[in-house]
Amino acid sequence: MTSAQARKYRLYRLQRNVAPYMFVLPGTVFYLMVTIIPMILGFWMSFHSWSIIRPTKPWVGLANYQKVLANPVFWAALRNTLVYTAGVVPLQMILALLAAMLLNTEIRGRTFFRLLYYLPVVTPLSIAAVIWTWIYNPNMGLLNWFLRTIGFQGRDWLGDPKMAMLSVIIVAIWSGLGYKMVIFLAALQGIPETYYEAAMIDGAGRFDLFRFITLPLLKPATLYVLITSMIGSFQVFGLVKVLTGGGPLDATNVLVMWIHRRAFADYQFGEAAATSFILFAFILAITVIQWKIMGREVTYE
Amino acid sequence: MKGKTMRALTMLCAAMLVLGLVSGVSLAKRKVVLVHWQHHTPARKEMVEAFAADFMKANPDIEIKIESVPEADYFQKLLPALAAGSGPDTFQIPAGQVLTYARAGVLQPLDASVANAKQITADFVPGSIERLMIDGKYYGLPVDTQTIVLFYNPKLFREAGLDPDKPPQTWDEVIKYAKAMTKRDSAGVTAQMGLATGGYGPVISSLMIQNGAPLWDAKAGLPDLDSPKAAEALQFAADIMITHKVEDTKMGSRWNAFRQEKLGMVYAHPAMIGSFRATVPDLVFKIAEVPAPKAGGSKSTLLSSWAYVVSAKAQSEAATKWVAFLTSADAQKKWILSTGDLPSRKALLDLSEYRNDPLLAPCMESMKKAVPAPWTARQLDDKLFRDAYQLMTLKGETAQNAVKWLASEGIKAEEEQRELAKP
Repeated sequence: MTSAQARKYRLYRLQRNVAPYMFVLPGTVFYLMVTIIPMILGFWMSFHSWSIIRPTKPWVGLANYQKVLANPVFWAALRNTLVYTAGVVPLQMILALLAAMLLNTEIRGRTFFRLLYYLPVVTPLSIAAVIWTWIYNPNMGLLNWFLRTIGFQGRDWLGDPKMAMLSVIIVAIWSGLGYKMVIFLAALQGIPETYYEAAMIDGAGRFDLFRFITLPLLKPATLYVLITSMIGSFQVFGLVKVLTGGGPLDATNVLVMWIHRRAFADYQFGEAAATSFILFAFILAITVIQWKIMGREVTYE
Repeated sequence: MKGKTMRALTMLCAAMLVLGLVSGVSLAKRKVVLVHWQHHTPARKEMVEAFAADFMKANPDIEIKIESVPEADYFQKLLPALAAGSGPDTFQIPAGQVLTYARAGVLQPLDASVANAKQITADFVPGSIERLMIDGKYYGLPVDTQTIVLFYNPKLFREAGLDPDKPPQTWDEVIKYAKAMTKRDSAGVTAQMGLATGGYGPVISSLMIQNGAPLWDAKAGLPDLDSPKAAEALQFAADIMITHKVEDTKMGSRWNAFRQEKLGMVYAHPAMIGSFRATVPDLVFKIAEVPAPKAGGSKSTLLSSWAYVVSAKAQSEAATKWVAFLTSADAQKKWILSTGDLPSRKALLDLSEYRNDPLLAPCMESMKKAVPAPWTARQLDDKLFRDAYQLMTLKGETAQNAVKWLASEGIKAEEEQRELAKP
């Protein structure tokens, strides 16, 4: 090998070794800046008495965590978050699967309907929420008008503590349905037609096809949708902020809403950070459990 | 050698000349730049931009850069910016927060050579500056000064056989008037409301002030909200909805109801003058001072205000000049007309142009009697009073239990904030 060739080879090796890192560098730097470093700082913050504007931020150990766990509003917010998650996730998944199956059949105007179901996903959440506050308007809202037309009494959907969470759940299901539907739709289209044909030859009915072919083969997609929906539900904020602001009487005060209030209205950043990490631990635990229970049975073929 | 030295000297002289010229030019051009933040309404933004233009014309060595931030995001943006040292030079915060911010070291007192304490004390209504003085120095000047007044619709008064020139004077009377204006359809659905408070915190606390509830324990430096007088006032507010049924949340926003002439009377800040004029220019409405609990009783309401403050890093003299400009008599005259912010300068309250203005006269009177909020906790500005009211209207709690809850939550919130405002 001549020296020129050797130099060229060295350059080639260098490129091979360095170039991939250069490609991932911008993304990594961004991710570090907006996620990893703030997370580490947040963790650090959770062990301090941290009012953002005061220069002294004394170390308080686990005091913030103790304060949060001793605060009844935290438990109420956790309960609200669980109610919200239990209300949104299962129903949204069932509806998304149903919609996906319907739109996977040969019906007229299929593309139009797919677009229609997906539209809420691309509508900015704040705008959608404002429109829903009008639909829910007790006096002039579409919903109460409809109820009155068919002989029922209208309700104060967002102003009644007993109804407010249900009203938020309905909007959440509506707004996230399309995204989940698209994932199910893609998974459904990945199931080879031959499986169904073979089963039908063996005399399987429509329900058998769904029970023994569709459902098992949808497991990876289902697991993905379940985990991401759960995480998303635990982190809900924007929708609640616009629709109810956490009220009335904290009936829709979910955890992230409370974290925001503690930090930016009460200046308790240390406690807000501690709450974030409690929420993080909670989400992590639930995700691991889901993964252990369902993930075992999932195969990705 | 001699030639070389000469050449070097000539070069040095030339370089110094050029440097001198450049620095001279840059010195001549150097301006004090003040970044000014405030929360946004279209009218307010327009006003402050016009003020900035006038100010810069009068002070060519100062440049004002305005950033108008939506109120919902205001603190989310302001707090991290102040913490990072990249915050604005002048900005607004609620008057009750000035102590917390000053103790945190992010504010500096106003430059006494521009606005001295004695003059400020002499010029402004005491309630509007009470929370702005710390250790004998003023840390800001008042803006967005608001009391509570009663807006009413003369057309609905006439329709109900009431005299629009005789607004209700007592709580009994206001309920009587409200009942006369409330209308329901055959199915019992409210079609027109007589009176609304919206459960808004400053309205509830104003009713308590009027009724003689203490609200504050000066000795302990903590809220004192569990009193029979406070419970009585809360009961009055809740009864408007639950007993007299002249307010109905099923009708949606009280502001929209008033705009659509489906609400006879509403407790509100005078700032709503600007809002109603901007959104429904044809709406005819009147304003009265709030009715007293009993004939001849108190019409004092809560004075809520914000303050324009100067950050610790700002150029003191220029920033104080700008803040003083924004709160000058001329500026306050413009504020009231375009945004409904009441003047806090004593000299303006009795101007004949306001005394003879049927809308502004009662606002000015209310300003003279208003009592500033004594607390620091922002939760007490609205949320806790509103929650106490809703405990009664939505959960059927008694007034005694609701004020007991309010008192304990209020103390908790204030104690927490007091920690932050320690020197």
